[in-house]
Amino acid sequence: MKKFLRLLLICSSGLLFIVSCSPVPTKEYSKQTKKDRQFTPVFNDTFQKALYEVEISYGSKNISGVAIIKKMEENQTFRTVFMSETGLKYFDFEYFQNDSMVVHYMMDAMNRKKIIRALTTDLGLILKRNPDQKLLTYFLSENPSDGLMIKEKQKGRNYFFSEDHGNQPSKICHRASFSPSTNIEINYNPERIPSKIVFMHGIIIFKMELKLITE
Amino acid sequence: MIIQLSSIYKKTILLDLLLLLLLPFAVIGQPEGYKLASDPGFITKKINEVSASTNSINSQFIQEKNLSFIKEKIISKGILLYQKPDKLRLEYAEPFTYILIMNGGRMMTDNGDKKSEYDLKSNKMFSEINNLIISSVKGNILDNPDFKSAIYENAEIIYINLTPLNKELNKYIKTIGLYISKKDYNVSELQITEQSDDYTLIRFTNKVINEEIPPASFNLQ
Repeated sequence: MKKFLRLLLICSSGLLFIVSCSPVPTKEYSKQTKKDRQFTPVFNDTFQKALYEVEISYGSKNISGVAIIKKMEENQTFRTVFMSETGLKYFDFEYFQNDSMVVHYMMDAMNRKKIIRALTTDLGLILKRNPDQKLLTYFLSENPSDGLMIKEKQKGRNYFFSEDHGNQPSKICHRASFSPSTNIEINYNPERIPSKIVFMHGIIIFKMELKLITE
Repeated sequence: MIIQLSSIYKKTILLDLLLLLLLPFAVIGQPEGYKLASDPGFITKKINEVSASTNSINSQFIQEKNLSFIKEKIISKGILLYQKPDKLRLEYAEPFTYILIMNGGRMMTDNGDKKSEYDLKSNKMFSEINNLIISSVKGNILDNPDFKSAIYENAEIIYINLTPLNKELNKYIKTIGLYISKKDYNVSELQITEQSDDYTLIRFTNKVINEEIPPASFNLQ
């Protein structure tokens, strides 16, 4: 029995590792020099604040609510609060320009390491503004319509896909060992504010969707 | 992670239910400009009498979410329907659509994309909250042992401050404030303050009491 359990553990760990390392389609991209290249954030310099409808699904369960994302003028940070429709706050995070962040509040029922790590990583990817250039590698697609890919080596690997240089990313992938992969798809409105953001997690049936309500 | 999220889901539903149970009393307020009620027994009696004679409520509401780090309030609007003894519909129309219905032992939600239904009798906490709702509807929330209450008043308004004694609830809610008009002893505003001092204020307007409400309002179409 113990052997079986050990085998099961090894197999499931192996499966998780394989899935977490599921490939990001990078073969068709060729490496570019960093000269004249720069990272374009999801929320650009003109962004001030936005209110989103939120739906988080896990298996057959789902939680809905609203989220506010606001650029704070004082520290040039991003503050984001998720809450239920009735106003009950789920969590409150603040992201700094140097990629660090602070958890101001996490609802007691959600105050678990795995949940905090998943949420802070997901939101950190869309709120990233000034990544360390030393950690970035730029790639240009051989197919012009596929645009630019930026690879960042930090806490695993992050891939930011843009249709063109200078455009905000339309897709972000996160890969790290022994951690479920994350894929994020982003649509923008004509003012280049993200109008729909969908987070999907590897083998875990966990999906988070943000839809723009007002700016 | 799935198990943990199930727990979050249950607690979220419970806290939403708590908000719902207070809605039939709905009002707002801040204790500045108020003094301790001179005759709390009389006020309690009047509130209980009005509550007992209230068979239905149809009211518009404006909800304001106040976050300490942002000057602007997050404002949403909708309609509340209540039918004695235990039917409630909270329908948000702006700036998002969301319906939350409580009908007997069931709770239903519809966010436009997805409808969900929950059995309130399926666990002990749900059952306790359900009992709390019924006692509130009966008009004896001030006697509820899960809250410490204090009654204040000025010339026109009665302000009731409720502090949760339940440790679990106290993690999320610092105080609940009910503002009740002395004209009709109906709640006009409800304020729920979190431990961080961020708060949600719900103001009730155009309230119609004891008008017939179609039974279909308490089911999702």
